[in-house]
Amino acid sequence: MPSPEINDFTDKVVKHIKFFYDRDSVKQELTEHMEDMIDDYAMEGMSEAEAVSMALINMGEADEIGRELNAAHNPVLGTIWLTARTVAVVIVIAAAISIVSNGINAVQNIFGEYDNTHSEKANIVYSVEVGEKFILDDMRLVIDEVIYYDDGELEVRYRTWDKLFSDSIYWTFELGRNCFYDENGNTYLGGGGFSGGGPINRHQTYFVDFPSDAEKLIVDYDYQGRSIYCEIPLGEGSVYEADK
Amino acid sequence: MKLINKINSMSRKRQTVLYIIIILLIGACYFVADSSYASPEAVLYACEKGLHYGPSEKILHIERQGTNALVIGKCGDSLSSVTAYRTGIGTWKLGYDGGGTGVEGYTDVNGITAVFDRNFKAVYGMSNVEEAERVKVVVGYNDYTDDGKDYVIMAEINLPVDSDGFFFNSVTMEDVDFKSEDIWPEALEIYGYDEDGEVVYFTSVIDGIE
Repeated sequence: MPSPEINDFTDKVVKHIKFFYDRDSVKQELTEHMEDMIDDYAMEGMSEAEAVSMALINMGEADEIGRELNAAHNPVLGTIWLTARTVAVVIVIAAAISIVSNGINAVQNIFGEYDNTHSEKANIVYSVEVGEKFILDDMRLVIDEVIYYDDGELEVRYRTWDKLFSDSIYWTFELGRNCFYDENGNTYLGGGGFSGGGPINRHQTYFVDFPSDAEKLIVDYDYQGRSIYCEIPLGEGSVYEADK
Repeated sequence: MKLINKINSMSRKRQTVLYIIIILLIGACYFVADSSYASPEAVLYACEKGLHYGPSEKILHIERQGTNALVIGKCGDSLSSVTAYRTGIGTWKLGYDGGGTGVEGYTDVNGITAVFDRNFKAVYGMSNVEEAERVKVVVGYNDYTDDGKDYVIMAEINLPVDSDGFFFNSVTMEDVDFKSEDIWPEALEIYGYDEDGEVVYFTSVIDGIE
């Protein structure tokens, strides 16, 4: 507990500091400094009253110190600094909460898998790994695999996601009508859907009664100058070779 | 902790600059994640990118009503349009009156096509018919409460066609309850007139003429 004289002195100093936020810390700093001085004088053999008096003399004029400290603690810069710091802390905390809550879902989604319930109902006759990548504006699309089942259904698996920091508005994308046909020009309208819940959508399109002797599945999307095209060989032992 | 101590040891000027950079970076990330944009036009372009068409080579018209805006772009010979609303902090988002809404998006134009926007009570469209100097758009709806097709005509709007083939007009229809789900107004008939007033184009939903 500082002596009343020191308390009065520091109060007089900090009254000049217009940036209120700094007053307490300046007062504490001054008090500690003066108490150190008093301790030093006491060790030199002065009484407490003498030490306090000497410390006050050595400190100088309170109003003068106050004016100098006010100039050093610029209220305009101080207010901007305090406001910026408060806003930054709040949004960093908000962003951290958002990242944690969404991050768990995002990680689960990124490392998720396709739904395999159809393979529990029917046996896989053959599958063709594709791995062909396409870019439509900010969206990335990868055709992963084509699977043919013994119940006559052909499944096409593909993923879509938007690039990081995409500035486009997200809309669900599906390879739909007239996008799929075989080497004879027969078009197929698939059913199915996609699973999302994160940055990546996993699409599974099923074609019922797909001919077992079809040799190719042609994926052909052409709309408004955007195109996706690949020919996927079908049949057991088929290997897809990506265009170089 | 070390990082916080390091920041605290900086001068206030440096700290302020650092905090402002943090605010701007996180703010930019938030706006990207939240699909907020600086202008209604930016909403249109972002929507076009997301729907994989465009971008519009020209903004034909921006209709502002309160905090909402209808943005119409020229996309080749066709139209592209979305509605956007201004948020409390001045950014723009897709939707109307603070809520989500379907978008007209890309409208293919063959001959003359007109769209009626129920939120803005506005008729707009595009003509690819070179001779068409003016259009008349008959706006109405199919009254499904009766048997079969019973069209109710709400307004006949005469509009000039500009050099881009574009036409626009807000329509006064104060007695119509646009909130009713039973009423879905559309352009029932479109007439295109040349400079002599002769009909050079006609399409009608009522008569089944496409």
